[in-house]
Amino acid sequence: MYPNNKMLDTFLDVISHTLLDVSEEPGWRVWPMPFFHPSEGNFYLAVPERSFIVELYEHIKCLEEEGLSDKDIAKLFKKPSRIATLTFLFEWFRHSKLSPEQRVELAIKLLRYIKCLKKEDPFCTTKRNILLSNEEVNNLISTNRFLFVRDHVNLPQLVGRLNAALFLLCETMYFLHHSIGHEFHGPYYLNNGKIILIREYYDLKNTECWDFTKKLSFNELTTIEIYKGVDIRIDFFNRMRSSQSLPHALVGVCVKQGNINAPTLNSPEDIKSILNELLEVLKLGQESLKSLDKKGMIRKYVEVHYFIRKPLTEKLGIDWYPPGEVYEFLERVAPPKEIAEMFKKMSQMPRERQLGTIKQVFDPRVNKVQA
Amino acid sequence: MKILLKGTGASPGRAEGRVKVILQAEDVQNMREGDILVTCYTTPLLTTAILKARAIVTDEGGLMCHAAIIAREMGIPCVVGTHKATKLLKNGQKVMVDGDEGVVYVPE
Repeated sequence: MYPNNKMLDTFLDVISHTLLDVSEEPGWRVWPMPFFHPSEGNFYLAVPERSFIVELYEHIKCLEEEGLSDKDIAKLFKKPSRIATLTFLFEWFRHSKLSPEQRVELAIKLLRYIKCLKKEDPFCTTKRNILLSNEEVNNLISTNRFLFVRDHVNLPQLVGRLNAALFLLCETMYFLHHSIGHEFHGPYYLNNGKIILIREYYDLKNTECWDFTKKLSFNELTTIEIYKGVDIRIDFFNRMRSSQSLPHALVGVCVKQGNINAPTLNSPEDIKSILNELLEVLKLGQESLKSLDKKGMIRKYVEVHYFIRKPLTEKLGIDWYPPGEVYEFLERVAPPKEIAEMFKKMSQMPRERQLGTIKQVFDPRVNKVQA
Repeated sequence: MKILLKGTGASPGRAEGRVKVILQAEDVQNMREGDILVTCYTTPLLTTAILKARAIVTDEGGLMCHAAIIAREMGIPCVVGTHKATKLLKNGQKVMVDGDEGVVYVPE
């Protein structure tokens, strides 16, 4: 019925392997905490009459009519991994009010936007997330001031705690989809056996979704890290895996309180002061999470996804918040258990069949999944 | 020291400290800097406890679990998948966590 699409097929291959690898981990089915399966949250983003995906489809159409190219629209999403989080919604596309043709069209467009924002390998099949050219990386190294471990013995521990705190802050705000708040890219290989990992954290002071972030004095933070003797892998959903403890392999770092072009922090004391600020904000964040019941948590999950569309709706002169109908739907309708049950059933299947089933679930061209 | 628990070494290194078992979010406030965090599996509700930990030991999990990722990020030892750490270890108990071997030692 639908023409073959190589990009969509590659994506399905990547998502099936990635999900299968993490689904065996404890907590996955009840992440971000023992409250809800992420599929339940995705249901509210796709199934209501005027759902997030129906509106996203329309907004993209309007932006195209205004003359914006794929690249222009991609840039509005800010970072590729943020768009990648939206591909989780494909599981509910067939239950949305989009026509079968529109579902495939939207899915392919989102994948194209990801491709626009990367230099190579849009789905990180080589476990590298490459956003910069070698020339751009070399330029970053030569024009920024780095702090080196040889000069500051406590630097590895400090940078490790800083990154752990920032990652946990992204999880507190964006749950399972922490990459709504960060883009880790690299590893970029240098000639001398060293590697570069760049971490851009952004929309940290997201006071529109969370009150507790208002005490944060910065909205973005960037680190450019030099490592030796460690294997770093980054997948399509911006999840990073390292072969060993990162602080032990750190050679040097450049920390910027802002985006990649911001001025560099001068000393470990400056980093420590940022870490202390983050620790205070994380305490408040933890209290915020604790105060939410299951429904409140799902409402936040839905809101942070709508927040992704903010730059697109701003461009169109409309607000980004979920329409009242979505909140009303959330109060009234419980999500069916079919996807959660499907994943449960899958654990008994041979691996090849598991992969095939996940591909069907996330394939917008498939109208009915045969488990 | 003798081996009390075996699991998967998910982040290398050795660390000694006193056990803090955290089974629910309310327990987080009792975690002190340098304690050994012992829990079923880590979540963002344990954020402040994780950042105070000298090492992490969990009942569940593998090399790619949340606790393992955060521990490798922080450079602290981590043993996951012990199945019974929260049952066998007691608050205040002195232990040594070996993240290379994936074991937890207690004094003989």
